[in-house]
Amino acid sequence: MNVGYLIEDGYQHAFPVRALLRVRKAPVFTTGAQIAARFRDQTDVIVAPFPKLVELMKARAIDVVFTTSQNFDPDAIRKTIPTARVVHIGHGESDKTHGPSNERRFVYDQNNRRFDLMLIASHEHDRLSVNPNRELVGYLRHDLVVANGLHERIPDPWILWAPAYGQHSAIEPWLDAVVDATARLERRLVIHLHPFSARLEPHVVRRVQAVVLASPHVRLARVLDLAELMARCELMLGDVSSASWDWLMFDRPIVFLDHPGLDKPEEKRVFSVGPVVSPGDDVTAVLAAELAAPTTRSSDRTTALADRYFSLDGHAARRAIEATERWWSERWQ
Amino acid sequence: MTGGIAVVGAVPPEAEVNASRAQTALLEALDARGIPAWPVVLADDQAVAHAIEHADVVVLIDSRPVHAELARVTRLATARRLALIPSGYAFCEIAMRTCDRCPLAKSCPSSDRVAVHRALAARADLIVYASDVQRTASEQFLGVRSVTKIIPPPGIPTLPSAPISTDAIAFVGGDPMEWQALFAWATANPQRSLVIHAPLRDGATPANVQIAPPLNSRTQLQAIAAARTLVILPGHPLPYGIAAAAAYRAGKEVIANERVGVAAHATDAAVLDRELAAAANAHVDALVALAAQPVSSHARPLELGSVLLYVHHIGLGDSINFLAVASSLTDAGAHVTFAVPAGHHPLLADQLASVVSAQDLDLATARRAHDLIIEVTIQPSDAFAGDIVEDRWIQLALERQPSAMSPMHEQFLALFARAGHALVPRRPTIELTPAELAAGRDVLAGIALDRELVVAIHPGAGNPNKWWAPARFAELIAKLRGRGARIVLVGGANETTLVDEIAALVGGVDVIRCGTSLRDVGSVLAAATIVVSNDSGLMHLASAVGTPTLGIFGPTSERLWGPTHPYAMGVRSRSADPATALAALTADEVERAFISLAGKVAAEPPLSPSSRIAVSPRLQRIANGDTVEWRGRAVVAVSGGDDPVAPVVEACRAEPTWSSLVESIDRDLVTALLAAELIVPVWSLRVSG
Repeated sequence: MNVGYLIEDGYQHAFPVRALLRVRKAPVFTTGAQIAARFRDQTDVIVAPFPKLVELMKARAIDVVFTTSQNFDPDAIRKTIPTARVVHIGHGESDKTHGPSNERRFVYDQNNRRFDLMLIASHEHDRLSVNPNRELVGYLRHDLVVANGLHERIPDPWILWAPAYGQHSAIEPWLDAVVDATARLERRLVIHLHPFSARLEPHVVRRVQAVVLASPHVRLARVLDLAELMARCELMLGDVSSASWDWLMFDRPIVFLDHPGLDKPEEKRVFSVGPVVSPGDDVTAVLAAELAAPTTRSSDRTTALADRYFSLDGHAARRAIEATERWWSERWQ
Repeated sequence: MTGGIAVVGAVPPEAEVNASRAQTALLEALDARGIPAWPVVLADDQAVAHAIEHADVVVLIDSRPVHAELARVTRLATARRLALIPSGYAFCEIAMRTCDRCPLAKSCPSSDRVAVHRALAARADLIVYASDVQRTASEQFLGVRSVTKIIPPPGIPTLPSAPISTDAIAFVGGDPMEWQALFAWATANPQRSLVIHAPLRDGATPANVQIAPPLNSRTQLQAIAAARTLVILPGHPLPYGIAAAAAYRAGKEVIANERVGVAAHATDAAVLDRELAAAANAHVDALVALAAQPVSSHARPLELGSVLLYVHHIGLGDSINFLAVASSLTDAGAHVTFAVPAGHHPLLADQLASVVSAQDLDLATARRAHDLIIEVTIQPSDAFAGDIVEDRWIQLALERQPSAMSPMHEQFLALFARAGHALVPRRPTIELTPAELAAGRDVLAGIALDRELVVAIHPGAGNPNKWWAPARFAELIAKLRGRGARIVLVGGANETTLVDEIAALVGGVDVIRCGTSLRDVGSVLAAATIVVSNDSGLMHLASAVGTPTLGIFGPTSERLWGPTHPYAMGVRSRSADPATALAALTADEVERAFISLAGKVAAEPPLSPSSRIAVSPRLQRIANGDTVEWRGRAVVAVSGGDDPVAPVVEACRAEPTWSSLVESIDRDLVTALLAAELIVPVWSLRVSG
């Protein structure tokens, strides 16, 4: 089994491969120069456009491709490398894994049917997936949190905001109030915009940049692995973004920013683990209360995390590689 | 009141357009009450600074929707007391508030423009709207403030008396909604006869409608006075409607819709007359009351501290343009380290303190040493590698500009403006040493190009997609030679083949092969009269060293990326999309643009010392009593005994050089006559044909 890791340009696609590299070394094939730069000290890295990458995989006789992306069609890989097996590894809650009963493009991708194997993190995704070739392995990001002791680090007096993009983003309705509240509480506000924001909503990026220029306590962060930034923060502002679920691994307070763009109940499932503020509410008071009593909702958070993910033992990557090797030896060869 | 009141407008009062009329009327009303007041043009940075420092109250009465002014508008927030008396909708990208039909598709609430004006409105100590219509249309964007008043605008003119010669009259710009409404009114009233003063338009016109040429603001009033009815049916909210108010006041029939501010308020002539008469005093009263209030405590300029402006993965033109941004940051008090690509460093190193080569910079150390990191790249993904957590950092991606209408570097100043940092726009300039400039002139002199109109043509560009076809350049060169231009082809180290191809096509053209020194290239470009160039780094360099430049554009926007010299132009085919625009651009179109640019250059000293000056062929001398009018493009009138113009004209019949002319005759006079085109450079006669 000659393995290659395929990473779409975008930081959210990097961490599963980071976790897998701890268990199995293999070359990284990526469409992003930034991603390439981040992996060069860990393994061989090849950066090129997708069609070229597939040719280069063929040249290296790659026969199992791990990919984090549902934007690369497995058939396109197999067209060039007919014997290749394409394995999907999830990158978070925004994986388009819902079943075909819900045809909205952003929650379901037809490519899901074409993966030779899907390695799944959460019980919910397992339930919604329609691809029979799937296995529950656990959450690869949790592996990194455990392995690096991120959840045990003493946080700085920072408040993290990693908003979603588009209509789900809380930036437009909430930015001014949050900047004001964090200044009052003498906390640093660290904003990590969604990777799509730069491309799809430059006006949002510009608005946040203006806040950085105007407010010395605000930072715009850019990190490969959001978990490392989470480890430094004492509270997070959440919305529909998958980052809210990731935050639960740290068992620290989270305050949810509700707004009219979140118009579906399923988008607010995670809201049960923290206070929810609506536009017009006194967000400063809510933040102050959570910061003063950070453990109050600890049991809610840990329960929600355990209910959601399969086997949070820090060995999801090992199970992922073992499952793939089993499929290779028992079914694909 | 000790400091007086500064009334800031986008245009000077003497322009006598609608926007300046309100400014003039307010100044007159203040003067009538004995209150010291003076006009300030927003683009006059020194005058704005003086107003902020000395005036008791700064009044912003008008600003235009151009990005360069956002920084200047932001400066006003530091005034002791600030009043806004907007004459329109300066927060609107198109100044019209036609949101339902606007091409920006309602994305503007997030724009720099709205943010800047919203912050200014939040800071203002007084906001005066002309009508409820203007207030409603504005507050959706600027927010609701308790310091708001509604007072009709000052300076509503009185109609002159005139016999009725027209039934109904209307004035239209380019708004199709207004055309539709007027045609609908005319169709519904076939017994009426409607004259619409407007630019010519295609399409059918109702039988009872006559289209007449547009009128200026003064003749417009005369036309209304001679009409029985004024029809005013705009498709966008008119803050007040000066023409409508004047017509109502004169007791004329006015057909108006609810978008006309005055129509939504008061239409009775007597009531309106009383209100308008009181308006000027109401403005003055409000300003006097404001001047008596304590000074706002929050009017403090923000400090930028130390700034690392780190530009990489960008072209030469971008580095030159960001030199202007770095200069503006420095002017605003920031301690700037300007890190540029290694290849651009020798050109830029002496232009500003702390210009460093990015290649030589220890980035990690530099990031720690600065308060603010501004990373500039072409694309977002070009950013430097590594996590960014601690830094106060932003990345500016040149391909992600919020506006397609304003120069790239000005848009970055707008970003700072919306953050409250008042950066004064600077034009990108490169200062070469006298020795370097002399060396450039020597290069041209060495090929006998020192006494003519010298046009340097740069046919290359770093990106081959920006190359205009060599055959088109050859065609253009033939045309320009026919107009008396001496042509020199300038090529970079990697453009030998391209330059040789064009030289072979035209024959006899001088070629200057530039090595790798950008300063050497700059000195040659500085010595030329005009540079014609593809959109390239050398185009920006030519503009920055002070040479009028004609940029040839196709896949890129001349509005965003055009040369910035005051006498610079971008030419681009209007009929094609970006992918085909360069191929569609003809030599005739570039030649026309060249003639237009050359005309401006010819009228603007300093000219080359060796330029020969002649009498303009269209010069007329008309004597009328003891007054003599010399007519060229403009008129110079002389009255009394001596006529200082005559000796200059006489001297120019011998076609002296510019240097000998200004040595023997008062330079200011010669300059004025050149600007009026009574005298002209000899080369311009052949260019204009």
